[in-house]
Amino acid sequence: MVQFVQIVVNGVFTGGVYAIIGIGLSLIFGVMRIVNFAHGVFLVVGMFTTLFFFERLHVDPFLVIPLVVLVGGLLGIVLERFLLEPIVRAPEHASILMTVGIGLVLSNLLLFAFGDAPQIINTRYSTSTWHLGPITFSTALTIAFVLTVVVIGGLALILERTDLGRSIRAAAQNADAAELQGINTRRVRSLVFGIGFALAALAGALLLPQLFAHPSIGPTYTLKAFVVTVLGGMGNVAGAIGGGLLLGVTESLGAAYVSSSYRDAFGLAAFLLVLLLRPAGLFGRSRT
Amino acid sequence: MPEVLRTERLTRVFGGLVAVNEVEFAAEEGEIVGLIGPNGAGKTTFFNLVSGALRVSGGRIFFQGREITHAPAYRRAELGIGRTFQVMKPFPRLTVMENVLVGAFLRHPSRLAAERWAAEILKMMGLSEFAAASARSLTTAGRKRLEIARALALNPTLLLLDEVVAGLNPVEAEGTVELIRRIRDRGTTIIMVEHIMRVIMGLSDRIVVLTHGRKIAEGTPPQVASNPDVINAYLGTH
Amino acid sequence: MRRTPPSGSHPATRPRIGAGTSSLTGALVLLALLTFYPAAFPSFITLGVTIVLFAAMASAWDVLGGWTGQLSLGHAVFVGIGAYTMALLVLRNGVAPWWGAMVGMGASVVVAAMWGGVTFRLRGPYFALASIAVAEMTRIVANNWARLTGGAEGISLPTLPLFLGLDLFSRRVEFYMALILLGLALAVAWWLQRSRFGYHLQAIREDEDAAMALGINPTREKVWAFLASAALTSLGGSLYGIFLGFFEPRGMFSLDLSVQLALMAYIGGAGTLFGPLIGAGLLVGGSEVLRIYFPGKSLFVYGVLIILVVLFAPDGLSTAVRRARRA
Repeated sequence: MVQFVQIVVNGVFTGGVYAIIGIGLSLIFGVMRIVNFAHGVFLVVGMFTTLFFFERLHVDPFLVIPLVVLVGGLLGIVLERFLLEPIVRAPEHASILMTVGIGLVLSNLLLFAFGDAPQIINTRYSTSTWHLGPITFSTALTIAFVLTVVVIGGLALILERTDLGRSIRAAAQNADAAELQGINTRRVRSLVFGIGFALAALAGALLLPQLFAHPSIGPTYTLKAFVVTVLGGMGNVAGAIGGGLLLGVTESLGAAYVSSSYRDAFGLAAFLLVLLLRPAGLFGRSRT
Repeated sequence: MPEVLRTERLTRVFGGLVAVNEVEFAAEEGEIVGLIGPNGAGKTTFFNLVSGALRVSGGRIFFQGREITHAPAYRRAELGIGRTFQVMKPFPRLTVMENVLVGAFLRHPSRLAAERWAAEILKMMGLSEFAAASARSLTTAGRKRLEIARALALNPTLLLLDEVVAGLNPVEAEGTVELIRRIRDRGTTIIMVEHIMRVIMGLSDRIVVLTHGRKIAEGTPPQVASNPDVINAYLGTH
Repeated sequence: MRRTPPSGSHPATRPRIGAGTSSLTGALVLLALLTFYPAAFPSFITLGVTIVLFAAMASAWDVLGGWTGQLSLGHAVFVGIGAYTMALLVLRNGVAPWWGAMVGMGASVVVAAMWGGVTFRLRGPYFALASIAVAEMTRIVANNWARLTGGAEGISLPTLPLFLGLDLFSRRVEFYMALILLGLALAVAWWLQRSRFGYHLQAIREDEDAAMALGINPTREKVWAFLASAALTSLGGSLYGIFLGFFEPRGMFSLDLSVQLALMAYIGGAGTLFGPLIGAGLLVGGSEVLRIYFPGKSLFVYGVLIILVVLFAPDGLSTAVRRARRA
């Protein structure tokens, strides 16, 4: 029983970070109708930005986070302006191919810059733990989880309470109508892509103390992001939180009780089933 | 006259909205039936139900006496129902000729025969000179004709025309009206949705009026034009 | 009043047929020229095999991706099935590789039928997403089912029997085998360009609802296209396996490989006769050059080129060139 709780707790903590990745992807899909195939690479960009600041300036990875978010946001806005805005009216395969291309270019640039060796950050808390009764918590994942909750809360506030949030929600519902109401949908798209990139980069920074960074691991996280958003319903931001937690727990239970080498397959199988049987996601209303 | 199309209590619900509500409809061979009603009356939904683009929520559809309520759209095209789309759907990367050819292949599996038939349709529609042009290069008027041409290539028994005149200039409109008559004279039954009253009153043998998904009147053009319910529906004074 | 000549022989319908014939001539001339490649560039024979083989597989991908418009990012599954079926039958049962390739083709067709039957009701990006999921799951299974596939360590081919007196590990022989496969793929594409089935596929790609209204059953036609595409890709995979001699699930079933095939077709021009060939030449050649200077970063070329093509030549390079020439 203790072991089971332990596994679920680990799953929930990882799932929180998955939720952040998924929220960004879902937001981008909701507003721009783009399935971002570069999303996992954005996460890797976040990892290497963190690594860069940590190694050059010796700043603690968790303190670097605001900088990582800023860099991610700016990169996202620039990419949107120059590469995605021109193809807003193009058929949907154009945006798939474009984001595949962006992902390839970014990951190869990281290879040029940081080389082929897997890198890791060693901090005091990388391997340290704390205990609650019989349950063990990784310090790094705990900090990551707390930050995740804060960020998701903050994002929810922005979406619900601010003008920007209202514009984003309006654009997601009906871009043409939003445009008619005087919302600059062009600007909204740029910002949303920036937010999506920033969230992915943040997830990278949060995961780095736990994982290796390597330029080629992007697609793995792109797939996880797809799984999270499809489970939660494409474009359903709140659903992505549920999708993230679900994926985290499923992976962790599957790895513990079935087989760890099939860890990634569980998420994919769930993804395929949901796609076929409940295309609106587990938490969305299925359309008639 | 044999009956070509009949619907029994045809119903379609979107969420809470009843877009088509227990509509009883029939068309006989060689007729032109006009389908009119204010915006949102359910005319295009009715077409989508008859052509199979949408599934019915209730009721039944019969084509030449055979039930087609649950037949897929392509099966209905095979049986002889041709349609145009109000939001035009040309195949943009194909030429005008090829657009029509796709439809012509249904009755003429050999390329040569299909091409001959498609050329004949293009000629009838006055599109011959654009045959080699890409479909996206056509003007609105050209695209509307292409919609009709493609549907005609199926050699349909029943043709559903969704606003093929609206948006044309008077000369183009006159040409299309003339075309529709000629199509009917070849024996094709036509149901058409149109907003331009002069066109629909002039062409139709019979008119059916829908509002809020319900059939509120039916009759010859003069009968419908003088029906107080119809006048009310259009003026919105219930 | 414009007078039109009798139907059927209308001049405006002619160019289309003419274009078909001239492209057939073009394809035959090109294939004939390529037969001289091994003699002309003996020291670049490996590059030649790679280009021709990828051109063939990209053309095979294009049957579904380009002509039918169903963006698959999972075609590595068929490359893997082709390579592994052939290799495992050689290793375990001593079956000759060409028969193994046939069995692999059969297996690929069965997989494609199930895969297509289940996922073709998904439209747009959802089909692409599902294709990635299928391919990744296949890779994970192939990687872990070591008793069947040899697992992550990979397998290497033993000495192969002679094929009609030819050594299959000779690069020259591999080149001509790849060329035959490319010829087959081009023949299929040429037929799609002008046949009823080909027009059905194009109509589905352009507008599925309009296609249905014209009597076309999209799921049925898509499945047929998928079967043809899978069969050809699988043959390419068997040949690729022989070409490599040693391979592992990580490479044969990889997402990178699927993406490469798709990008070759799109960059050259999806749904065109020569597009995939042009794309393969450009990308394989380009990444070869890059590999010399920057090992391990060869996919950079793919990324840069696809971005440029999407922005400036959305119908692919072959279409852009043809348009520029006409203007």
